[in-house]
Amino acid sequence: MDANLFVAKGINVSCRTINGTSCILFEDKKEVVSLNETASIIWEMINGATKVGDLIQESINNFDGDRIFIEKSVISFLEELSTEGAIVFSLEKFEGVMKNV
Amino acid sequence: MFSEIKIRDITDLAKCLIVPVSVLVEVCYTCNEKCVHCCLDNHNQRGMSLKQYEMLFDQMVTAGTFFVILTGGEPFTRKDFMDIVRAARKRRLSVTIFTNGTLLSEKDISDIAKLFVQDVHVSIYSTNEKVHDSITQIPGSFRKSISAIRAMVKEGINVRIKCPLMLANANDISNLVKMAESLGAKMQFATTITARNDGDISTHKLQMSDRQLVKAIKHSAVSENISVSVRDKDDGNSVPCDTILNGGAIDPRGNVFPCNQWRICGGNVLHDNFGKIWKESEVFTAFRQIRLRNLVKCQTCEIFNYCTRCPGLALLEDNDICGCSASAKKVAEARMITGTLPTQRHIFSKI
Ligand code: SF4
Repeated sequence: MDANLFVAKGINVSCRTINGTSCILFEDKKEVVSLNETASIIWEMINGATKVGDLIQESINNFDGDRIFIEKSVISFLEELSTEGAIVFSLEKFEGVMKNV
Repeated sequence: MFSEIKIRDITDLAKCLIVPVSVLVEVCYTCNEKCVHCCLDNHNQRGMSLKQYEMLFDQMVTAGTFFVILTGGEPFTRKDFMDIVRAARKRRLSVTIFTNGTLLSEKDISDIAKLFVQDVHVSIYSTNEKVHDSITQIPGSFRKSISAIRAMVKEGINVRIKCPLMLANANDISNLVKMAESLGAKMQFATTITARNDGDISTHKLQMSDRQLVKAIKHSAVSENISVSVRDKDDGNSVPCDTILNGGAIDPRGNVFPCNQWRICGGNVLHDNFGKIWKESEVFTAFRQIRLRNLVKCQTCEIFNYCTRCPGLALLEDNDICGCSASAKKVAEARMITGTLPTQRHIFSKI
């Protein structure tokens, strides 16, 4: 995965903290995915202006553990979110009403 | 490390945790139509300010709300209505708009599409222009609503046509279904004309005749048919309606209700936080204690499995939140005659 790609939350997803758990809603499917604590922190960092590389670096700074393992985990998490349509990638910063929300 | 992703049913999760996951917001009572069956008892309230709605949406997000339905009156009588929609979308609330469509400009439609509004519901009462306009009491309203639907569908917006069935339009069901199909919209019917919010039941004289009601229920576009009941009369712990746990409605003055038909106020968002009202209001807490075991008539009712009773309507029309709802009974009897079981799981639902 290219570290220079910008990452944004998908247009039809929203996130709420319910009972201390981050829940992502896929509007079309009316289905909620709940994230664990570490995943929630990464999710919160995704704002359309952050790059894949930033997310990896921030995770390495914030979480204990082997650097390579953290990097692989972040990438596989992003891939999983992308497959579900929860995030999108772009070579440019994301603009418009959905930016940073 | 990040792989603990669990998929859950949002309504069930919200029900267990008392999260107002889907909230209806009436942004005004002003309207440019004068529909004969309208449930509003006044058309004067202009709604809260944009700033107050922004604050409310922030509170909703914190309370766990995902879905917001924006309605009126006619919401587009507010010049700033699209700013309200934008404010909701900025907070990633999934927005559905209820409108008559007659006031939508080209720009509104293009903005609705750009903001990824989930659905727009437009009220159409007949395929016959004269009948529709006689119900709205506004000549030319049919054409305007239909042209708005066309323009929205063209922009890729999900449009649902909504039609409450009554004496004047009950024989038009099949034509309405065909018209919706040709427009590229979904179609949804309602079988009950309710009392006005102040309890005035003069609207009941518009209701379908018993024969029309039976015929309508038989129509596959009006009610789905299932073979096994989703109700369990023996489960005394089931709740009369989920909306008191995972719903919510807010009127133009900021009063909070369990839903727009259950008009008992739990607090006002201009004075208190929405999430706090939802979780802590004494009156809502008391409503949450009501269980099927408290509805003595329903527990022994022979047509229980066919009933789609609304506690709000039972209170509004029959003055007893635990009693039989005459409106629900009428529909349930028609369902029993036709053997059509209701699919609504939020009514008499397991907890
Ligand atoms: S018909 Fe009346 S008594 Fe029977 S289940 Fe419905 S509301 Fe209850």
